[in-house]
Amino acid sequence: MNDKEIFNRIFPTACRYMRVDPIKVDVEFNDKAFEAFGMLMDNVRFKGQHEFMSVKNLMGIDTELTSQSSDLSFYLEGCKDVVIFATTLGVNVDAFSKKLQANDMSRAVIYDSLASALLEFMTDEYEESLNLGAHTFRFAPGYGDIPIQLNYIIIDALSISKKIGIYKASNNMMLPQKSMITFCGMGKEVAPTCAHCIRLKNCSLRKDNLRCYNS
Amino acid sequence: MIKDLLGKKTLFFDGGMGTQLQANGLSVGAIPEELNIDRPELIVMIHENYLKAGADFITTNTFGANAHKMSRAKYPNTDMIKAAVKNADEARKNLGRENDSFIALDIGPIGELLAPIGTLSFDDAYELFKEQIVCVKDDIDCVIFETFGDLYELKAGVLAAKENCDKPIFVSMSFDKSARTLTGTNPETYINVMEGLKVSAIGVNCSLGPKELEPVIKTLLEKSHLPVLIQPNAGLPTLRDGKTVFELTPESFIDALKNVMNEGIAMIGGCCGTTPDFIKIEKENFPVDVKERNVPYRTAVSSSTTTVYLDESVRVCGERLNPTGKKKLQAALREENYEMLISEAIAQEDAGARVLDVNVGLPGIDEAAVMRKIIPMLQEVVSIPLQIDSSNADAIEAACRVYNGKPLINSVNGKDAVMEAVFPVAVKYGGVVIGLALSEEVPKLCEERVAIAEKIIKKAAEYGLTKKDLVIDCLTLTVSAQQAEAAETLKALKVVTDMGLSSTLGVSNISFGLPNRPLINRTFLTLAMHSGLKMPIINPLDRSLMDCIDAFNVISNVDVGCEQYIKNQENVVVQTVTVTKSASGEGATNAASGAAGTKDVGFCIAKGLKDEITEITVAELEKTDAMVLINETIIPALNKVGRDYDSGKIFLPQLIQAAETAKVAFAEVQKHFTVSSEKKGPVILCTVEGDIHDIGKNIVKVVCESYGYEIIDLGKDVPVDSVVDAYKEYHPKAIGLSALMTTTVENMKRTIAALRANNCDVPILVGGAVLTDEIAKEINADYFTEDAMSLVNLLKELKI
Repeated sequence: MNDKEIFNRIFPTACRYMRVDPIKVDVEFNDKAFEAFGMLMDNVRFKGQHEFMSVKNLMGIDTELTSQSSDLSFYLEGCKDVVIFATTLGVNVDAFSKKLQANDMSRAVIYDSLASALLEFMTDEYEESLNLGAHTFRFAPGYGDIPIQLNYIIIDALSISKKIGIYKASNNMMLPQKSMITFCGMGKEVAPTCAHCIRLKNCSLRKDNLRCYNS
Repeated sequence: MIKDLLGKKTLFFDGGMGTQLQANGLSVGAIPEELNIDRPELIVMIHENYLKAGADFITTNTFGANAHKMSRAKYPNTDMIKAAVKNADEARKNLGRENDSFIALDIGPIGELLAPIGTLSFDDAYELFKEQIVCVKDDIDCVIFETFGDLYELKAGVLAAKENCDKPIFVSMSFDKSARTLTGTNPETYINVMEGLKVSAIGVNCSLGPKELEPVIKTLLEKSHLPVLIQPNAGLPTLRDGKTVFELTPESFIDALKNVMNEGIAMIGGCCGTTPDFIKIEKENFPVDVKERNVPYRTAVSSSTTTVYLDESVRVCGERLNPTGKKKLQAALREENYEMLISEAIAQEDAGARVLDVNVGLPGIDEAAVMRKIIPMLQEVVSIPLQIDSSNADAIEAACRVYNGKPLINSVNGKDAVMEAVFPVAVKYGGVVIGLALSEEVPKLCEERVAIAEKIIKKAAEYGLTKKDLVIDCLTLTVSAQQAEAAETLKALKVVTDMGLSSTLGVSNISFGLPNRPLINRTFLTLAMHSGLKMPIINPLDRSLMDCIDAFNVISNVDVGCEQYIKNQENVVVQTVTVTKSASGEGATNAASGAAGTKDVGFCIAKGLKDEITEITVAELEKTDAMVLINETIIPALNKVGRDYDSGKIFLPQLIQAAETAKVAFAEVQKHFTVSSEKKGPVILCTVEGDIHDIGKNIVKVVCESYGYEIIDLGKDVPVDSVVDAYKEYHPKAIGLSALMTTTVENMKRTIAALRANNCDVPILVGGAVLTDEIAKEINADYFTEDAMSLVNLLKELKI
């Protein structure tokens, strides 16, 4: 897939992050966004890591944390194994965003939104390349009642900092900012849902009958 | 004893520790360092197996044993480190190898990125490393920092080791297939910085197998003067039956090393997936003696990602980060408003500067403290090396310590006291030093300049600095006052170049006091480059000077194929410029300059034409009163943009673009007020403690400023106390707090509670992705605003 095709795939999602209606976008805005996308691609160094693990091992990774979550057990019910993904666009993306924010805030917003959409896209591609067979949708610590602190435990347990350069930051955040740690349960198909989302009651997308996982 | 063998006899490290522990039942998520106490016999056995295989070094099982990473462990980290060293010692005693094997204290990355990319401070990182070293410094033979991906973190570690232990220091970073570390450092930069810090050996480990690491290994061998250590993985990991395994056998591993095996590698071991069998086969195949390498010395400075050689073609040093004669910059420095410096830095890099001079010297300012703040801020947004410019040795040291890379220090001169203060700093932190050809007397002749340069070289040598650690400034004097001496400067440049030294000049000093200064500047620059000048210190935004360099590079056959020249010049429209003398005889005007066109200020704001607004505002101010322009054009234009945004006609990026354009127009209009215009606010903005996401807060800032609000931006990850202190200091009309994460909303609540406890009686506004009206009420905020525009509307409603 060439850059233009990738851009066309992720642009609607990036528009959603910017609260821009992709249908109303004019040529000028589209060109500006594509230019920002070029800057983004110059700075992206995507890295991915995945590890298969038994659900039992995942639950035992820190029982104090995993036992707090009913959603984790709910989504993984019936699954024997789980695959853990760690993906990142790399630190250069953050650094260039900082530079843009200092001298062109408008472009910085477009760039940041495209970066978020690109990470999702690249993680999807990474997941697809594994041909996992039947599996649940990808979900992450912080989703529903799954403790976000699990990010820290997983980073250490799977040597993620060492392997692909995702680091812990304060308050269970991760750096580079465009990074994520996600799970899929193996062996059954479960589609994404808003049911357990923290923004269920005040989601601006739902008000417009949209879903974050469908754009 | 290590020092006697290092670089002469091939020495062997051990292989993977994690691989061995997992093979012995270490479960996922378990802490390997706890085994130093829980299962010492297992650790001793692993060490013994490596010693039996032929290892000279035992790496302690302490890779992650910093207090930060070990916060979940059941033992204090220093207890685990002491136990690890004891285990290593026991292993070598068990095999009678006390006298011919070495204990290497293993130190891995902390696991958190350092500020400004991350949140961990350089000083905190230093303390974490220091703790790891001090507790066993007398019981080890060397320290090895390995698997580092961040050069800055590695610098903190090396300084902690140098300042607290006298054992040899080995460093080893990990590189990916693009030959960059995780934070973007290339091998040349790594070498330049670590050689400056005077480590004992430099290496590469982990990430890749020997074949994939070959380009990095070759660069280390070809460009570094230090003994080279390599510890590759056993190839690339692959998944087999759901388990990660490494693809290489000991035989294929050694086969993959055959291109570099005889090229001067001083130490070899293994990383992930390697076992005692790998070490055994290395020992059988590597030569006993280390091949000598002849690596030329270069003059080079580095940021964390870029190395600039100052001994080849002309490299521009940007001069604009210097408050001398710049009132706005002086005011910005005094008010600690560093935005202007940041913008200037970015503009200079974008214009082609390859090094940036940083000078913050002003009477009454704590130069060292400002350097400590501003250097990381600049390095966050520019990728080129910085030139630390100060006459204050404490400020130079403060800047060099926090600098990420190998700095250029500006400067010493021929005075002993100055050199004695600055050279030790350059030695400690590995800086290149500019030596100004000036002493007690201002030199007139070429010979006097050269004599001072020679004195500087001699004195530098006493500190262990070579000619390649120096750049000589041949001193530009003002041609209007000392006309004959311009030629002496040029002559001195030639002599200095012939001596094998790199050179610099502050070019624009030449024309001081003369009309049409740019003409003198570019003529002098051309002559100086022809005489050997390597680093002109100029304003890179002055296109005429940069064009001279492009032309010079073509004529001197540096820009082969004229590629750079064509790239920079192909779109230049050549105009016949009519130079007319003004009545006063000062300066010239360009008759070809065009009119502003038909666009007006309101149109520019609506369309976000930031690059055009200044010229158009200036033109409009010639016929319109400043206040009228604000009230009848700028504010209505902004209001229309705001309404269009609210109604969905335009979107966030366009709103911001319009806001930024209006801000530029405001700045221009303000120059025309006889008394300072009344600004609204001030309003304090920050992202709360623990939260590093600041793009939302920055959007709010731009939009508020466009409406004339004075914003005091405290930044991101702002401690509760700092917000309270700022409230007391600035007496704001409102305080805006931002948080992106649910986890940091708690800190927002604490910040609000602390403000209330300090009798804060101004509105506290909150915003951010996870905030809602309900949460705002829960945490005792006064208002929640959904986006930047609604915040501005709220401020208007509140009559702030």
